[in-house]
Parts: sequence; C-alpha cells; structure tokens
Amino acid sequence: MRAGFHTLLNVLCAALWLAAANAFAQTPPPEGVRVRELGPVAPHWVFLVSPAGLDSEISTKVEIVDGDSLQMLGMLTGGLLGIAALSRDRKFIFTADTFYSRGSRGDRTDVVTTYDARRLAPVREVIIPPKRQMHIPPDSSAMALTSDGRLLLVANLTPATSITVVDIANNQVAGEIDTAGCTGVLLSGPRRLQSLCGDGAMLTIDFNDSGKAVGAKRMAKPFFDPEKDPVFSVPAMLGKTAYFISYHAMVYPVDWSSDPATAQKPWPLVTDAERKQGWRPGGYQPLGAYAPGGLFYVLMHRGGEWTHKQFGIEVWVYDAARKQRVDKIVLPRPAAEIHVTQDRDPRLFALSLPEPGGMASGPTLQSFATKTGRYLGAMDQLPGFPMWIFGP
Amino acid sequence: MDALVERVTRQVAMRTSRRGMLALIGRVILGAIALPLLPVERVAARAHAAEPAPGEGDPLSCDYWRYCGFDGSLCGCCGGSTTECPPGTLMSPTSWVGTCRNPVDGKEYIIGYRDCCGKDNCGRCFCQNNKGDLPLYRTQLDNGVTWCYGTSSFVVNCTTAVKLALKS
Repeated sequence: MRAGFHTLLNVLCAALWLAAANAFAQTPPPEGVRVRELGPVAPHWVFLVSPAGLDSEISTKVEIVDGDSLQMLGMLTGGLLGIAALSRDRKFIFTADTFYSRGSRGDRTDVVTTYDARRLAPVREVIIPPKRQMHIPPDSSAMALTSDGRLLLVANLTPATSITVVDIANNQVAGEIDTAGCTGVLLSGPRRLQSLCGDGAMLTIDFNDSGKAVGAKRMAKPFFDPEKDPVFSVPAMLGKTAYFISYHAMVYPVDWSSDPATAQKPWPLVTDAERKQGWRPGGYQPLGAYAPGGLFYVLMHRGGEWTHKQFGIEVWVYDAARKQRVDKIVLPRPAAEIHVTQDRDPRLFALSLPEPGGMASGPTLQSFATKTGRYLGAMDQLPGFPMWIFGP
Repeated sequence: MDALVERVTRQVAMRTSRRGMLALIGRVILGAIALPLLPVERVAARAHAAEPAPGEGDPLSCDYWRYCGFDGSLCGCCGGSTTECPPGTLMSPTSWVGTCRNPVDGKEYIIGYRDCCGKDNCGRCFCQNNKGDLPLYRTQLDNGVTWCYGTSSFVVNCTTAVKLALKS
C-alpha cells in the first residue's frame, strides 16, 4: 500500500513536471525590447521646429521626419522658443534653448545642446549668456554653424543685438560679436557673417576663432527700403548671391562675394497683371532655395497690404539667372512654410497649419517631386505647431 | 515717430517700476488722475477698460480696431482685458507698436501691444492681424518678438493693446 502511494506520487510529480515543461515550451521567447537608433541622415529627411503649441510654449519640439516614407523618425524636446541646426557632416544636431528653473518662472538658463543625430540623445552642452533672441516663428538666421563645424553663432536680442560665439570643438563660449542696429546671423564665408540692418543695409563682419570681430563693413547705402518694401529676413542662397524677396513681390539680389556685400538690380516676381490680381509672397517660411539648379521657390497667395504671413496656395519657381518664373506648383491645401531638399531628385515640402477659426485639423506636411511638380502625399498629425523647416 | 515712441517707452521703462508703469498706463488710458490702487478703483478701472466707446466694436473680437497689428492671445479672453494683464502675470513695460484707426473719431492711434508674461500661453482667442508688422531688423515693429523685456520671464500668457498716443 505504501509502495503504491509512492508510485502514485511519482506519477503525479512526473505529470506535473511534464505539464510545466509543456507550458514552458509554449511560452514565446522574450521580446527583444530596445530603444531604436537611426541610420545616417538621408537627403529627404526634414527637421521641423515647433516652438509653441497653442496651449504651451515652454518646450520646443524638433520633429524628424523621413520625407520619402512620410513617417516620423523621432524628436528632440527643448526649452522655450528654441532653434536647431544640423552639422554639415550630419552627425550632430545643435539646439539653442531657454529654460526657467520653475517652468515659466525662476532662474533663466540659456544653453546650446549637442545631440547625436543617430541616437537623438544629448551628448554635450554649453551654457551661454541668457540673452538669446526669442522670436515666433523661429528661423535659421537665429543660429548658424560655420562650414568647418567649429563655431556656432547664436543671435542675441535684449533688445540690443549681438551674437554669442560658441566654440563647439572645445565646448565653451568663445566670444561675443556686436551687431548694433542689425539682426540675424547669415554666414557667407568660413569666418564671415552678414547681418540685416534696420535701414535696409547689410553689415558684413569678419570674425576669428576666438569669436571676436576682426573687421566690419556696412553697405554704402541700403539695398531696400524697409518703409516702402520690406524684405523677409532669410534669403535664398544660390552660390554667393543672396536672393531676398519682399512683401511687394520684388527680388533683391545681394552679392556676398564682395566686401562689403553689394546690391544688384531688383526685379519683380510677378507681372503687372498678377500684381493687380494681388499675388504676393507670404507665410512663416515663404522662400526655399535649390542651389544645385539655381532655382528658388516662393510661397504665393492673393491678398492685400500686410498679408505677408497669410498662408500660400501656390509655389512659384524661379530661375535666378534668367530672372524668370519657370514653374508653378498648386498646393492641395494652403501652407505656411516651404522647404526644398538639395539632392539630385529634390523634394518640395509644404507645411500646413490649422488656421484660427478654421476646420480642426493637425499640422500636415505635403510632399512634391520638384522636377514634375507631382504631389507625392502628405503626413498628418504632426505634433505641436511646426513653424520652421530645415534639412541636410 | 517710431524712434520717438521707442525712446519714450524705453525711458519710461527705465525710470518706472512695473506697478508705476501700470498706474501710468491707467492714467493715460482713462485720463484719470493718479489714484491709489484701492479695490474699488480697480474694479471701476476694469469696467472702464473693458467697455469701449459705442461704435468701437467688440474688444473680444480679432477685428476690434486696436488689434490691427496684433499677434497672440487676446488678454480679454484670458482673465485680463484690452489694457489689463490676467492675475499673477507680469505686464511688460516694452512692446511692439502698431498704428490703428479708431472708427469712432477716425483718428490714427499708436497702439502698444504689451505682452503679459510669466505664465504659459493662454491660447484662447488667438488673433493675428499684422498691419505694420516688419521683420526683426525693425525690432520695434516686429510682432513676432517675445516682448517681455523688463520682466523676469519670457513666457507669454497673452497680449494687451494699449493706446499710447495719437499719431501726429
């Protein structure tokens, strides 16, 4: 009887063991969880800077989108009204941000952060003087990286103007450049910058590795009249010529190969008939350049005086050398910003934002093949309120 | 004119405290003599500030005449009014300026768009009109600048529209 009990126990144990083994065999292998890393930055990637949502403005988003698949790749979270730039070797993303120790109040810290472009993770930071320019929309004249990747120039506004020079190689603030009466950092040489002045002239400044100005020359006279026909702050760069466009649809080319910069003859973006119809440029980023083809792209709408921020319904393409419009792309939906990639099969990206009082819809990125003007699709539900686009 | 307004604004900003500035604005707007900020007067001032003259339009609407160069959330929708910041925010002594025509007297006024700072974006009644708005190289006329100079925070809650002067 006792032996029988033992046998029964053994059989039960064996059965339990078998059941457990069976259950174990049916459990799927553990999942390979991980944090993704990105491949190298591709020519059609776009970086969208969302400085403020409608409910919050204290954390800027930099959204990274694959312009081919129109999928989101990841994002950076920054501070108040930040700006970003990509290094020329595409390995790093730099942001300049402002943080308050208690969110919307407290001690102010301005900081330049370097992110690894594959991991989208911060790798270094430099605290800069707490006076960086904060502007909506943000634009690329607020921060620029020298072509050798050594120095990052950050525009200040107190509202007096100057530029903080950050030595990226040594991870420290190098110096400060005074730009009294002129705003923005537009680089035109390895150690040369251009700044746009309140009277419509251009200031050319040469600087050194120590972040100090070593020479400054101003145009003898303004190249446009800010009272009569103001230009948008950021030009299209084609070779050594900067093409500024104006509220009243004129082109003001400026030759940046000379010192100081020299103005070239302005020419119109529109015919007299188009002007009568009210065609003019507008939006937060109404101008894009395609340097390899000598083309620039202008976001156009029909409107009256002071509609320079109205969203555009068409993109007009100009051959800068021929001073002629060569193409026109009609947008499926109005856009506030445009950006053109610099590769051999370029894309035009147009970003649509919800309009106040309009239909409830999230920001949408539209894609076009610029050679044919063909609409390739759109990506919706973009986070935040992207107001500036840049890319490699 | 713009340079003059800027100079005057800066001088006033430099010489006065924020509270002094508020009182000064109150006097300019209401044409009132300097009164101590007793609760009764404050209520009266708010009623005055919120009520435009007949024919001036609705100050909670983006097409109200003073908002011709506006960019931001109307403070009237956020706990303040056309001339007052919401409780706990910081009124900037500086601003961008616009020139708007009052439909009642037909005259052009210099309007200071003073940001109320120190609290996150209110987001209600977003309004952007842009008359006279110039890029950053004309800083004083740029409605995209965060106009919180003179306060301790550049986070903008909403924006007011204060009559500064009759355009000469």
